[in-house]
Amino acid sequence: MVGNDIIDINETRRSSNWERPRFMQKIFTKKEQSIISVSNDPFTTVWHLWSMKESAYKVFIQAGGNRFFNPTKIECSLDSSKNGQVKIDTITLRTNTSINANFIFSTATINNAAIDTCIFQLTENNRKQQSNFIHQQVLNNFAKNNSLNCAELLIQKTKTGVPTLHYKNKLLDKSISITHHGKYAAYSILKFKNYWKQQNNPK
Amino acid sequence: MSDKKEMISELKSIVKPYIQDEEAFKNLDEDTDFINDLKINSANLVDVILDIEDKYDIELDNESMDKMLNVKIALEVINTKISEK
Repeated sequence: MVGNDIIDINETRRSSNWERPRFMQKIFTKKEQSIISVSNDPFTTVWHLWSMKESAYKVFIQAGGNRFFNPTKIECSLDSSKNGQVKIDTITLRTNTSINANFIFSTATINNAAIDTCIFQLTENNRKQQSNFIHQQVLNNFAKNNSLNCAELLIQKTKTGVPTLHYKNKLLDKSISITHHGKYAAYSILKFKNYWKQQNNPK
Repeated sequence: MSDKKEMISELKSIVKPYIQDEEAFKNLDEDTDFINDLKINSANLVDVILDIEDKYDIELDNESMDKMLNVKIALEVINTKISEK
């Protein structure tokens, strides 16, 4: 299973104010708040941790967890500027984050399983058009990389909103996560069908 | 306590700045899901919660926020908190 989350930095500056009273207490645990308070760049650290939580939550939902809205139930810790861990209930996810001037992007997996990720910029502003464009990107690339006929490839969402890939009306055993925010979008696909294989291989 | 219709319309004006699906917003009712239907991004859902706290002068602890994913449950939680005041 894989979860991802992208944060468009300009869009976030426009639409969210992390310094709003009580905002931090609603989304971060005491431990996370102390990571932010000693950070050189609190803005980036806030949204770095947030993207970790979002990506981990997506794996939690894929694993059959029930939806909830209580960000402090998800706790992050950082191993390095790129790598971190996120705990939700009894599950611990490994995360990987890349940050540049335009976006913050995190992926979460159960055990650092290998993933293919593609990040791209959106030109459309309309949300529906953006969504169609992203799906088309996923389908085109996936068809190309796996020598499949794109016309027979389809993305469907499960009841809990998890995207799944279908080929010739059959569900493919491929874990995928799709994210978009502002002008950026990304998808991540688990490289191997079975992540257990990965777990047995030391890194 | 305000009646349900009035509360829905109050809630509607609270969520308005954050919604990304106009159609779902127009048809907002008890079953409307903040994230799946209105496409409010989850960081902005925190703003919705804070705006609700300010509007009704209540505190929504993290436990009560937990289930506030749709209009119906949001109204229930708000009413409970108001009655506890």
